[in-house]
Amino acid sequence: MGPLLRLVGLSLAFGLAPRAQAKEPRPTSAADLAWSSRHALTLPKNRVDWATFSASHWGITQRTELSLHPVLVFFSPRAELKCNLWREPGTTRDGTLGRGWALSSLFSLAYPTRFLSVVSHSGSLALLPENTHVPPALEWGSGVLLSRYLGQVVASVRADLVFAPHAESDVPLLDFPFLYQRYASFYAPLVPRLAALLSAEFNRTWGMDVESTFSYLPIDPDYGVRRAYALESAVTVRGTFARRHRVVLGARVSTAEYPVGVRTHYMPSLDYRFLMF
Amino acid sequence: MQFVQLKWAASALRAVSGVRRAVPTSPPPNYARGIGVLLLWSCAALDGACDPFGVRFNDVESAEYFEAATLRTAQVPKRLRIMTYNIKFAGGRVDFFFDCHGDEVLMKRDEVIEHLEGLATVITDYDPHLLFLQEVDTNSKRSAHVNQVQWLLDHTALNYAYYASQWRADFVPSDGIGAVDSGNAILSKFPLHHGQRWALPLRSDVGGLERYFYLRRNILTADVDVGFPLRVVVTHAEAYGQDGTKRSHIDRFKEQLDAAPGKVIGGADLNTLPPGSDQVAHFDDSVCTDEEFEADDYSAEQTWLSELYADYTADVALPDYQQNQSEYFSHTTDQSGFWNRKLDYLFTNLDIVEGSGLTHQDKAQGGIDTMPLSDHAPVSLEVELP
Repeated sequence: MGPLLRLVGLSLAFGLAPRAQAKEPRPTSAADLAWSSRHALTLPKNRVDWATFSASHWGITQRTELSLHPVLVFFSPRAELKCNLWREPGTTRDGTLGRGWALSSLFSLAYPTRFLSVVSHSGSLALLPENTHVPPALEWGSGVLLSRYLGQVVASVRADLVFAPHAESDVPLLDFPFLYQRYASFYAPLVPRLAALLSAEFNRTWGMDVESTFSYLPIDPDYGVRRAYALESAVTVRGTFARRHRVVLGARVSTAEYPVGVRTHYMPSLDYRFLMF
Repeated sequence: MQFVQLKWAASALRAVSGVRRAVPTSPPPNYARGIGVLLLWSCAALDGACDPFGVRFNDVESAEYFEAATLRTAQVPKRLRIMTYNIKFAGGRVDFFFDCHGDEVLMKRDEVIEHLEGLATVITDYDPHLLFLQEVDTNSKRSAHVNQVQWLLDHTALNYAYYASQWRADFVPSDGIGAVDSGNAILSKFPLHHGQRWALPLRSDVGGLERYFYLRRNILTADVDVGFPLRVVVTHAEAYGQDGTKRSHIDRFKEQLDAAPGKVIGGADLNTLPPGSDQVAHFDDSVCTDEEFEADDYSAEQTWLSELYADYTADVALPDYQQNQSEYFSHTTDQSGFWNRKLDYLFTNLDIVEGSGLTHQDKAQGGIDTMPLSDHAPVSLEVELP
């Protein structure tokens, strides 16, 4: 599996991603950017940030990071590649964040058909009717992530475009909270997203992330909604223990326009992560 | 999570759809079900503290008000025509999964409109001054989010309406139902005031998780402006509870009629049979095979409507019904058969026009074949105004 994943990752990194504008910097220390992040810097080569309830991250090269969910990949396959195109030399310093700018490109590939098929059945937890026929569809995503490092604080902006071409279908709209905006590309020609993120490192143990993502959902009006949108925000607090263990607690709120109208929903989040060198 | 517990959750959530269905034939992967049930159990555990899908109501609250896009002048007549109609959310005779005659869950907008046009034909043909509706959708995924109350106001001679939801959720995570908003309505040619939704007891024979997503039935009341105080009362009683919930709904319906300050008209789908019915169980349209109980067994309910018949005048007098029962049957789930039981009623303390009570079953009785339009036939009555 390891060589195969390397092949896939390298193919995506070098076949699809624009080449880096500068040479890869030498790693500064083993703790240099220990954990994966939502900002533009990537994990060092060969480091794995393994998560329990969210995507795990793997540093394929010094500038390329692959994300995959270890469990969900089997019924909601999705992979994302983050390629650090450029960063100023001072963005990391002796294992801590410094000052400067960094820019990364993002690529994602997903197979929404699998999840939409899994939730199409009779009885409890069926989000779509049993007689739903979901055509094969590949979701392609591309974006950029720009981060400004200010010592203990990082401010980032991310812009994405996703689309999932497929044969004409009669699949009912998946309008379940939080999944709605994540699978909207199946029902719309193109879904643009814009996100703002603020990360703060209080000390080597505690940190916090605040993120807000706006998605424009030009869903086919036949589904009963025009020019829909979703605004999802999340606040998480991170506690790192014994350098390699991290607990993340947080909450998400999503306000979106559904066919029934604008609704707001909340969801707690919990994750346990650990580093593998 | 043990499969037996998930099977319980599956059967519990089936009831949310209003009737019953067969055992699911293709259960989802166990880990997916486990995660999902864990999330839903979290909601049940916080039953008193959270309402993530917007299902709850207050004990008493104002009903939702609608007006026709174009109001038509209506003169108060000497005789008032009233109709009660369970319209099955304009589902016509689509073979929905919950009747076990098919596997349909959602309708397209064109389908819904076509069914509404059929319903409007029946309504316009009788031209009631007051129309009581049960199972009318205002914003449900299953009926393409068509506001059926507004649509009927705009396509009949009725002008004003109150609506009280009995099943509302941003999302029902069962059978692909999705968002739902369905309930009772009063439509009137004359102005309506003080519409109120009175919550009815929830079933106590189901667990917290099922109760959270289950129907929250109600009584809808309003006052009609016809020159004197006239109260109208509408309800749709529980169909499946084995804990006495149906009886309590019927009793509360009567209490609302009794509490009216003057004249009152009540319309309801009471989900039970009149006293003295010949057949009380084993109806030939019951095809679901996995029921934990037989919802179509009314043996223990023979006297439940006795007080209503004693204190109020019904669309059909009890002796008349008992002599010719089939003429008054108003429900069947099987469109290839015929109406096989009476579940729909009108009660009033006004003087009725003798012989005006009618169950609009087919062309011979009512003038229009209503079998394709709903699993219920409309019931109508004329009353004399003082």
